[in-house]
Amino acid sequence: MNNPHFNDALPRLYEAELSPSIVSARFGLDPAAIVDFSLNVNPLGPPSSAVAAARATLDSCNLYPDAQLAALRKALARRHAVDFDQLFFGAGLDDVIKLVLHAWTAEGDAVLIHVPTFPRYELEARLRGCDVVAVQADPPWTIDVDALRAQLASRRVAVAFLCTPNNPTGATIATSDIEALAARFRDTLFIVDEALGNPLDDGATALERREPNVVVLRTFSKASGLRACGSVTRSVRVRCSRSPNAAGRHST
Amino acid sequence: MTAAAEAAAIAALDDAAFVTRSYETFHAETQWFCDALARLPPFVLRGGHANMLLIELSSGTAAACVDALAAKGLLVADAACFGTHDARAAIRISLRDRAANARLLAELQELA
Repeated sequence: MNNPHFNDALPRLYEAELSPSIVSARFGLDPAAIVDFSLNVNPLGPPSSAVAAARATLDSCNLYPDAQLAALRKALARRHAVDFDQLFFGAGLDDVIKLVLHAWTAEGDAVLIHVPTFPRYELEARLRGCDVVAVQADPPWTIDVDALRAQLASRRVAVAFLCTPNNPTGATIATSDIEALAARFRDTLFIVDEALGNPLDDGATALERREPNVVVLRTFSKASGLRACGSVTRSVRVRCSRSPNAAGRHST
Repeated sequence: MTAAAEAAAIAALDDAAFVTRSYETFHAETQWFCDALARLPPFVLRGGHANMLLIELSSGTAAACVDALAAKGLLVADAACFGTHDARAAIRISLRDRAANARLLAELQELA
């Protein structure tokens, strides 16, 4: 292992610890009888409209896909009233989180998180060699915006992750609070993870039209039910104002 | 991203009815499950959103609870993975259909 930041103190990932195949083997259970409540999948399955659309492409699956994802890009840009090149796609939000961190941080930079929250932020930040500043509210299933503001004021923070609704507590941060933080701390990139938000709501995407240091993460894999099509169908909107290493201008 | 995934994503983007139906299902199952859970004192609901519930255990460890449920074929997440929570024992679950949710609830009742 060449990454010196890889060690036993890294956050655990629940999805790596349990799977139907592991449990089936360990307890001698029929895999078909195992139900996974640990991962957030849509109980309705995928939308039939999406399945039909995917099937319609199979006759040309020998061709390379459009690397720009222009059709999806146009549809999302229209939906959220953002520029075509503000959109960035990854192989799941885990991928996007890693890529954005690599684009916006260097080893030793401070990354702010509120805890408890989605463990991927801390994992990727630590693997990057960043200093993770964790803020816990009281009670811990809430988010203390004042405490976040105090940490941001006390040091230079390269990236702040705001998970709203928060995974796993469901706590939310008002869009007005996010906007105020972004306006006051311009040197910090605020990554607003709305994976658990209602995709029909505008959420923090409105901020991307007026705040240069806000990135909003969205996904198709929860309410839109598209995990069955592969985790590659998630999207992120990025305002690429911090070029030149603006990974957000390119799709994967 | 494959062309199939892109096409599916575009179709899903236009399928507001599916998202609405998903939320109706999430809310109905959450309400049903939480009403039943409220009658099980060892389990305290600490938050939920988008088909996801954080359940605190007033006794025992999350690891033991996760293990006991896994032995019955039910996978739940140990909330310790999500970082500091005052060392409270908690699990995170994402609800499924009514039959599966009822099965989980029955096993939680066994553990209570």
